Amino acid sequence: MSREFDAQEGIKVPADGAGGDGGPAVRGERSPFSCLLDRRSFLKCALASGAALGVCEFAQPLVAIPSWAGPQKQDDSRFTVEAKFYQKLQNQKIKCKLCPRECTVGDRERGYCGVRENRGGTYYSLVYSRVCAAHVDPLEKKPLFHYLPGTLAFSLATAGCNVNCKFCQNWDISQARPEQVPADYAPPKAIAELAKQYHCPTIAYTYSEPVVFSEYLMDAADAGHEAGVHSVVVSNGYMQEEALKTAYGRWTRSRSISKRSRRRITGTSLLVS
Amino acid sequence: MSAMRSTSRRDFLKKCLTGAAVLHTSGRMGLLAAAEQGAALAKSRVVIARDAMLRGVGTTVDSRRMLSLLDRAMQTFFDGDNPIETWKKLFRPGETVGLKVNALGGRGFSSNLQLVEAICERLQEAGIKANDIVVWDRDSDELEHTGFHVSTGGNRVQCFGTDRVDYEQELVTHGSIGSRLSKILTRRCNVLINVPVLKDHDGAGVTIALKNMYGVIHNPNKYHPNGCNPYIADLNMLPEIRTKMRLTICDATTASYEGGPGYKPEYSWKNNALIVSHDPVALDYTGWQIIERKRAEQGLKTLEGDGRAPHYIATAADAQHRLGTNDPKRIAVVEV
Repeated sequence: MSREFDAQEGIKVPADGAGGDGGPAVRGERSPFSCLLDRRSFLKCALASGAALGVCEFAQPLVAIPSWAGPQKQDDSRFTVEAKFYQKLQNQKIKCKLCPRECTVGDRERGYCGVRENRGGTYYSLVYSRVCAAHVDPLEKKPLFHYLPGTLAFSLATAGCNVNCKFCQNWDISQARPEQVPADYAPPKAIAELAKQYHCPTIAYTYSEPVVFSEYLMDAADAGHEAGVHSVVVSNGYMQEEALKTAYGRWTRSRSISKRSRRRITGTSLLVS
Repeated sequence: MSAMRSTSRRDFLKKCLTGAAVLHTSGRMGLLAAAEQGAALAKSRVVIARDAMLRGVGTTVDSRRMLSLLDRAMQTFFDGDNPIETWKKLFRPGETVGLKVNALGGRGFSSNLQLVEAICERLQEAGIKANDIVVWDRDSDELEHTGFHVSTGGNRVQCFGTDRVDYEQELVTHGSIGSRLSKILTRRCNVLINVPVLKDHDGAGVTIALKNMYGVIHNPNKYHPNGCNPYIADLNMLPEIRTKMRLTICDATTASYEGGPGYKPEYSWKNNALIVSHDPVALDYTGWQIIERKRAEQGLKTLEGDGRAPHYIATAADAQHRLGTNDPKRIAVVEV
């Protein structure tokens, strides 16, 4: 039952005055939870409960499969596109050229970010249109000032990150592989349409690390540009120069972590930006 | 009670002082040190069982010969005559036994199906119920591509990936590791048999027993820098892994000496062997030497020369980890 809050009276009971579910009981009236229980009934109940608990303990199946708590199986194929920044090596290995880590990745292995996989010598991004978080936020939350103040940003993220910050508040998506978090299919044009639908003049790529979904980010930014929606990226900027220029060339504004603290808290040794 | 009352304060102090003196003297005389040294000098046993005719005249492993090879390896390892009795030494009815296989390499280069079937057969003969055996790895699809039949119910051997049950929400940490563990490991299995594959690895050098544990955590991609060192050793220190691990049976029927961990037929060979040990470090060291010998035979540089020696094996054996030994003098390799 809904309640209204009044500063003078505290929680208001609905007008019918019956107390309602959760409303205050009238003094002297028996509470629905109170009951008369003699000693014999109490002992019977206690013994029965004890026995039931004991049986449960013995019957507790060690073999029981834990209930499924993880994300639904996702169709990988529609989220998979060939990565833009990598170099092919011998023996079906590749070298990722997206960020300064330059992961050398063997066949069937993934890079440090966990969202790019080498499949037979071709490197794929597994997070294209694979949005695991999307919210409409005030732009100041990004945080940005003096840029469209008081407006909203359609904010989104995919799983994965190329650093490992000790303070990360979104570690459950940034430090996860894409298949480990629930996600929706949201192609670039749909993002632009959603931003307009929710009256957001800006799309913000944030929460995890936009660098690792660069291919998606570039296309979504283009789609947004065509629809008259700006783009903002909240990023660590830990990216190779060529990739940085290609991916962020058309960005309205960008922020990155301060150089002073990056080594101490992110475990990275080089910032190319 | 009365005896205690009869001990006077003087007697009590005398006994304490005498005890302390004896302990001090024995320490001086090196008795304790000798005992420690004796334990340290105990050799880790690694059994390598081979069967040149494991595949007969074809390319597929023969199930009967595999069972016989497994029996030979186990009987040699446990010095037993009866194959089933050797399994009874390790596992008790009522325990849930997890077989952590490696399905990353796809069909032909993952933990051998016939080997897993043979292990399951012997476990059941040793009194473990079929549905108390769980064959598992990260992903059910990978298991199916390898040839396993995913099964999560009934009175059959269970087989599924962590994707079916998810990882624990809580992070577990040790040293450089901070990860979520598979619920199959934490909630389903009492004990583990590690069933890795003998493979070359482009980053770590080799991937055998210790590195197979990357399949029990949610974020193995974070632990590949620096040749996976010290990450592999730190991961194997987690109590959930260390206390449950009973045995490693390495599938060395098909092995690779270059281009791993993916399957490259040109860099693989039919080794037709199983490697069994309690000591994952000794097993990894022995496997590494097998791969090095094959590389030398093929005219390739050593892994050290290739800039990817598996230094994590030494880390796993160091004073901070003590997961086993990598000292060849303390490894007894028995070939049968």
